Amino acid sequence: MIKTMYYSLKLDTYYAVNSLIYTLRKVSVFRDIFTEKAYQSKLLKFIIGFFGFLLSLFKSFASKVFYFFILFLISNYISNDNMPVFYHLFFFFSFMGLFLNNKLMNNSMKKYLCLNVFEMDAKSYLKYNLFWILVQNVVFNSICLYLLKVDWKVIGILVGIQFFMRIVGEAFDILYFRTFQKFWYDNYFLYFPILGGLLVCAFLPFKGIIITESIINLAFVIFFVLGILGLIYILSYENYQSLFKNVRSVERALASKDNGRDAITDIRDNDIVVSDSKLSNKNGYDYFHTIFYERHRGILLKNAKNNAILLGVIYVVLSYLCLNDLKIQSTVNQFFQSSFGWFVFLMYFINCGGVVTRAMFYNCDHAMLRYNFYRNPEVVVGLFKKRLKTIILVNLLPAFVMAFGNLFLMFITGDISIVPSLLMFIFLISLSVFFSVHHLVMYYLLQPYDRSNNMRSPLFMVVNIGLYLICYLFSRISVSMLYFSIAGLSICIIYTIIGIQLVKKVGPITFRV
Amino acid sequence: MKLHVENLSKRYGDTVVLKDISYTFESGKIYGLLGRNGAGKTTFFNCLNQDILCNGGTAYLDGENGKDLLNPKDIGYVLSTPIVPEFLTGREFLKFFLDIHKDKNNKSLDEYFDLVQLSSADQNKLLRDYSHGMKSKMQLLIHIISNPKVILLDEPLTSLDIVVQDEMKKLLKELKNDHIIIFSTHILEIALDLCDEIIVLNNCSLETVEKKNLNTKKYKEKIIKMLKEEKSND
Repeated sequence: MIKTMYYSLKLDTYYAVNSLIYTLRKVSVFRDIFTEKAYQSKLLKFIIGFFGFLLSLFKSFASKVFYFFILFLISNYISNDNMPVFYHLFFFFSFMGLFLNNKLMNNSMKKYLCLNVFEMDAKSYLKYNLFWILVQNVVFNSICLYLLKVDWKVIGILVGIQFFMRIVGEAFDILYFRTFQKFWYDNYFLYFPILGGLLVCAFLPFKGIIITESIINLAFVIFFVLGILGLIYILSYENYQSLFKNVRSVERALASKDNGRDAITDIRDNDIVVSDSKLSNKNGYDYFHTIFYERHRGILLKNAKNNAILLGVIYVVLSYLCLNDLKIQSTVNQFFQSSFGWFVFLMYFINCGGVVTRAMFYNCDHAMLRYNFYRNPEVVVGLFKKRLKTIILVNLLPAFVMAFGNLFLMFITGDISIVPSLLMFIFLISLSVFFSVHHLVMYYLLQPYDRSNNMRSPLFMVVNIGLYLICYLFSRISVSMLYFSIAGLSICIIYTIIGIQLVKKVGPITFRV
Repeated sequence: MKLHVENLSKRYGDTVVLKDISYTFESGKIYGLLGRNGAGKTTFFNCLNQDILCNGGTAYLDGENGKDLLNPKDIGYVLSTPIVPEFLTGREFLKFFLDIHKDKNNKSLDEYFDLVQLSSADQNKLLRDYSHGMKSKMQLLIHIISNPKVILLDEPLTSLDIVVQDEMKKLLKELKNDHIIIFSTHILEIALDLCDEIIVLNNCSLETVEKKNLNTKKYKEKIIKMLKEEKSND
């Protein structure tokens, strides 16, 4: 196992370092510093690899801290005596994690390379991964709970519960696959009731129901026993090589999320047939674009629909709470008046322009841009216009839910006047258009993807991080909704005009593979 | 019609791939571009097709209307790994292509499919479900329809079965009178069978392998000797 761990970490390091050098070499300033000889430098590999390893640990730790912070916030919101609620939430979210966070059976390109190309021993690879998952869990959970000033005895119980739950979860995954030759989460009759039930249990404290310390202690004993049995089950099975072969074909490894080509670029079988009536009057690029849209309807609309439904549910719940609780009503009203910038941040997250452009690239443009006729300036600009309409329309669905939801909330919280409400409505719609334009304009100007769908443009990453930070800063600004809407609307209009003009001028040069 | 390449150069960092290449290609002939793996054949094509920037040199066409700089519009570039829009069926792809090249085609959809012998069942499959050979046929077919002055073929027959290879060779021979065809391969037998002239990418430069009075065996030996020289110079 130690040998496997050594080679696996070495592979991670080489991959991270070489990717970094490759990315840096795309930027002209670094090209002379990092020549091709940089790939040979063992010292550079060691230094970057070491810091990369620390960074990956830090990222895992930071996400854990964030998770604990959210649990703590919710428990604080529910009750002044927050720690029992916190333990309750921790228990049920860990229970959900038992089903959701399993990693041993996952597909990844790294796993494929390790087992099939480098022919590492499958069981050693699995043992090393299990060991690494458990160590990280124990250490990070202990630190986070210690920071929350939890008693050492309770830390031991909670960390122990999650430790054994992880083992049970991984064992369950393997057992289910070995029994039914498929993943348990592909069985919706199991997936939704189990996770839905646990989610309902997790939020029982809202109704004043909290699991007691003795139940948690009992759970510890149960998961201790199940965990030991699970560990014996995992370690006693020998034939992981063939089990992983069933799970992981080359296609699955290539399609795995860490390789960039995830399910968003797959065409659904339902979308393959395009009715003749939709194509009867279409010719040339119109015909081409219509088929693209129809065949990717599922991919393009899935995110927008999901976001719209999620927002709808949130607005319904908020409306219900506002109508029944004056305290919440006043909080919501105050939020609209002083923290309207959060909607910029929210709109940034629900816009699915990135998903759409990735589908465009992977399923269409990476092939079509090989043909010279497709790179003709009129064609590039013409298709850009058609796509812009599509991407705007797709994103308008959740934007309208948000805009109408806000209007309704403003109405029931009792503070609605026509001009600010109208401005807010127009601003949110323009904001959605702005993000749609932004994603498509950046796609045409920076063409950030390569065939494996990994980002290849450092500038694109910088622009995205910049946009994220700007959106985040908006959420911190305390300005009245009226002024915010006017300023935001103006920026959206100016950006949209400049962006479209830029694509018209520069797009035919920059939009290439 | 002639394609003149003058002083074309390309380097990646310190590595020179193409060094002051000058050569004239004529219509009516199929040129076999031979070179060892990594010799720079694809780079040469990418430079002509302006997919990558050259470090120097020009290429121009000398035709009935005089001399013009080579424009990507004049080129049909057939890739070794055919890349086609996988969300379309073969028939949809061809219909779309015929729509936007109305001025260049005089045959019906079915006549074009007959040309590459694709059954109607295959025509209505998504291109993602096509085999490598079927995709190659589709790729070549649309280049036939767009009728470019120069056709660059980057090892297009290498992984095709012998029947498809034979069909493709026939198509190319039919095309050669009105086009300048440059065919890159590292398989000597295919080059000898198909091409009228063999050129070797040797030491970053192009060199014609004169056949003169040599029989096939001697000619082969001469080509291999030139390719080995390239190796020893590396």
